[in-house]
Amino acid sequence: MKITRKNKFKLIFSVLVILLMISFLLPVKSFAGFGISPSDIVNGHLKPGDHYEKTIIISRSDPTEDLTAVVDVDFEGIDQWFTFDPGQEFTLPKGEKRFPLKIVIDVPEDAPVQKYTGSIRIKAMSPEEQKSGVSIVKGAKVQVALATTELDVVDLLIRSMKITPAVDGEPVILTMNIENVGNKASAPTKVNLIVYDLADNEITKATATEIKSVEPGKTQEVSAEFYPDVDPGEYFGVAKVYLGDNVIREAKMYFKVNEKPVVEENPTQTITSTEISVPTYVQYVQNNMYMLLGVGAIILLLLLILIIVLIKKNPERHVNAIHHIPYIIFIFILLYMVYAIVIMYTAQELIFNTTTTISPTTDTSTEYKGEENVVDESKTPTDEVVKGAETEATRNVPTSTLFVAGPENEGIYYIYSKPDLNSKVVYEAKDGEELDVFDEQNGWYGILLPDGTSGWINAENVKSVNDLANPTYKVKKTKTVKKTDNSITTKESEKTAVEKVSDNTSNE
Amino acid sequence: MYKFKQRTFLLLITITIALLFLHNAQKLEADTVTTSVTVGNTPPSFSGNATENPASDDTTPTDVGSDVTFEATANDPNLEDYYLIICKTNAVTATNGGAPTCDSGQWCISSSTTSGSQATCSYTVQATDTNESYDWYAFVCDSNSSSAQCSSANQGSGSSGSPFSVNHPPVFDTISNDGPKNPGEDVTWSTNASTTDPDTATTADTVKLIVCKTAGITADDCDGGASDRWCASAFVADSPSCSYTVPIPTADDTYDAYVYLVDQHYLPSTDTNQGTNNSYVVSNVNPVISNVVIDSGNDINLNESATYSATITADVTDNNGCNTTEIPTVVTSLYRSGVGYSSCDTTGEEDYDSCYPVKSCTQTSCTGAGATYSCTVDLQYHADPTDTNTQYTSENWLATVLATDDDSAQGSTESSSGVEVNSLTAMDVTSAIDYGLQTVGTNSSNLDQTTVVTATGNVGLDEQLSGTDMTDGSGHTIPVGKQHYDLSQVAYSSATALSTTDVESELNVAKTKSVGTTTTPETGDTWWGIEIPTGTVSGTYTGQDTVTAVKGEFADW
Repeated sequence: MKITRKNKFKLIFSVLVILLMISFLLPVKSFAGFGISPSDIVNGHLKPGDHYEKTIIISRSDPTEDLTAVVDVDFEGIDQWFTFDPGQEFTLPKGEKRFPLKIVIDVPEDAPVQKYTGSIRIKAMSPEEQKSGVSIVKGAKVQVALATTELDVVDLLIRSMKITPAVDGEPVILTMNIENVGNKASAPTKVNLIVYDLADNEITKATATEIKSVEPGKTQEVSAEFYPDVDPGEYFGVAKVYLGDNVIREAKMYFKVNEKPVVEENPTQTITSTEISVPTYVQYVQNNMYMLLGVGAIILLLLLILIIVLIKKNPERHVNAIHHIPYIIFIFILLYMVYAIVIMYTAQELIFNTTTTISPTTDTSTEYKGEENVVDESKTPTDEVVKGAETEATRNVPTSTLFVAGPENEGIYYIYSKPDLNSKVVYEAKDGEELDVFDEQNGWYGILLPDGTSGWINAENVKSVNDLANPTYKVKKTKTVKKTDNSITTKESEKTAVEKVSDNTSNE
Repeated sequence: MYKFKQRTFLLLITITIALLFLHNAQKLEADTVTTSVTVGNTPPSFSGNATENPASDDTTPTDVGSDVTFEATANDPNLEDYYLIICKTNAVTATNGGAPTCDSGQWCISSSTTSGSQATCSYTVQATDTNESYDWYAFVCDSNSSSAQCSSANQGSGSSGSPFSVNHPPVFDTISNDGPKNPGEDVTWSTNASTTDPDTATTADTVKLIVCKTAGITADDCDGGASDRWCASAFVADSPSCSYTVPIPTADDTYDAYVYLVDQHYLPSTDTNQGTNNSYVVSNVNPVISNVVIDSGNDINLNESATYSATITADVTDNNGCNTTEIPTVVTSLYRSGVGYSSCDTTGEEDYDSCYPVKSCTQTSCTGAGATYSCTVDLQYHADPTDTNTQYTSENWLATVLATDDDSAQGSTESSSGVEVNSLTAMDVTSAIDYGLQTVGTNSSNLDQTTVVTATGNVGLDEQLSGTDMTDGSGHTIPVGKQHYDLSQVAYSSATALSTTDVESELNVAKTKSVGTTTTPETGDTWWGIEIPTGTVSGTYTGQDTVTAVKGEFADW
């Protein structure tokens, strides 16, 4: 076959494409960089018998695949002091850019007093086999410098401090994040707190000496309690932390003393329940109203179709009927409407025709003083709410949960009475606290508080939320009323069922 | 029968005569009155005392502009109507057929009143009635057409008797306040010694200064009560003043303050200062930053070849209020302590190695005057380390938070304690060495393959190299020592043989740095070559070399 110019170009082009494809098929594995931080572990005052831990972070900028990490210790004579969490060989999962590795050093009781230097190497390998060539395994080295001693070394590092909002009459608490960088369990000797008003006028002083100690090598949150004689209001506190006679940390902090929460004296009205029963068929209709409506529609439709078909099949026999088909259809529609009214009436009959008497019961609850926490039941997402007489008691039913979060160790996150930063604070949630959500608006979550009231938290302070768009639970309320002597009593009960969306099972 | 009729007739005659006699007797009497006798007029007289109602005395004087009401009841023997007239002096003149008149001034006169009924009249105290008390004399007079008569004077008795007392309004001479004031300070409204009450008889009247948020007072308080009141003085003889403590927080603004002066009888002043708006100003104050904390105080471990989001938190207090309208801008700068805030407070000074200026912060809570803020700063992977064995061991990283309020007043504070940025020993390296097709019994005359180490941390790098034998998977190997390497492209024979144990190579890759915000990653090359020993079975051989990044000596960074 004569190779024409056109064919030649086609041939060259095809070869190039194939070569290009082959080059991509060659198993040239690559994964991005790999690093460890910190690169040095130094402890110059380990005592025989000490247990010391240090966490390093393994980071990868492009973790597109799992890697196998292997830890090697190069420490002459003291390799056995070292253990690792999660182990000396573990998986660096894909997708995780940071992975902590805890290095644990257990100094034997009979360890001599001396200095030790060595290293720990972490290398990361791809589990895939190299098809050709020499693959490069990346590693990184941590330099380790240790020294054992028989001396006691007391040394604390105050990482951060914060005064949590206080309540009138209760202690003012200073929370300190303390790392014990010595080799002996220690606590600050004392903490002095000077309280100023917001115009920087000194008001009072207080000292705390009862402070929990921190184990060596550990970082822990400890508290110091003060009893300054201050009224509810806003203040500055200057805290000085002492170790012996030395001030190891001093900081000025803003804090607030809130009014004492108001204990509600008047009982909250609740609905009392009484023993009530209704006929089984009514319960059945209530529970399956939509199904019955659908089935009825289908049956009537099928019947109508059958009749029309029969009429049209034998037009000679049903001459008159053919002309009356529209009327037949109309009659069937009427029949269905009657049927639907009967079903709906049966399902909701007892609610429409009842009156309600509410007997208050004693129910004391504690709520934080602030603006009124009015619970709006209309905001409660419901799937099927049985309508009825007005009830006094309303409450939000949670549809999901969220976890409070924010800057680490921040401590307290405000819950407001409204989705507005300028409204009153009604609760102070702690980092990690789980709260039930009943609503979401404009970057705020409406949540239920432990005392039964509700508030609002800014979405920025939320760590995670169960699926709010597709809630796990829906609310279904049912009411039953006792009928006696063909009359309807005035007492009724209301039950709120929280049921799973997935299986429609009621959990009461 | 004749006798009976006769007797009857006589009886009738007798009766008639008797009636006639009586009639004539009356007629005779009448005739007697008209025949002529002359009689005189008697003046009415008080039934009880004339009184002031209500009583007007030193304790309960009558305010200027209010009425003094006089009451009395009189009886006229002639049953004529009478007038109650209150005169300034003990002299009155009756008027025939009309109302009487006082000879030397009248307080008031009632309308003509039926004898035995109560008569009243009122006098409105005038501002021109400058005395504190005035005598009064009450008279009751008839208006007899020919001989009108008046009683003698009656001055009542006790507190409801003469004189009546007059309460004059206090003098509101001057008013001023000592603003502007900061939240937390006292603003004081003051008057002078001439701000006093002119009534000094018996015991001098006292005065009270009231300062209200809205116009209007009732008695001695603002219309809206305590919530409508800035302050009020006690009742004092003169120079009343009062103070109001401006709470924290209070927005900087001008606040209306309506001033009033009343005396102890709650009579308000009528001077021009009364009810005027003596507004006060609350000054703008600088926001105050406290408790600046970097990443909860923990040392920072950066991310390989990527950024690390460090969180900086701070409390911002503004005595004018903590809302974002009052404090629209809060920013932070994060920097190595050796750089200092003054060299890292403008965006043009940004340097990824050591200075991250003017990063925005978000308010996370606000109550009263205090707010908390959270700021995120994305540190580059090559931000200068400050931990051990680095050139900045003696330093750490600090943060300053700067708040600017809506009047451009600023406050800033540096973190009282810094954090370390730890060394990140990190690299990227060529993923494989492909020696290609090699002939048995030959080697790379010169090293011809390279691995490139890129410093993707914040330290300079050396490397440790080790490897494994290459195998074909069928038991045939190429010993690890047949791979040679060097930091230059030298001959195979003079390069270093690879071994299974780590050997450090002074690669001296410099620390990746930036000039401003432009980063130039540092790299280092290692050259490789291989020899295929004679007798090696042909096939595809694979192996594994390990390149371990080692933190280099910082002098070589």
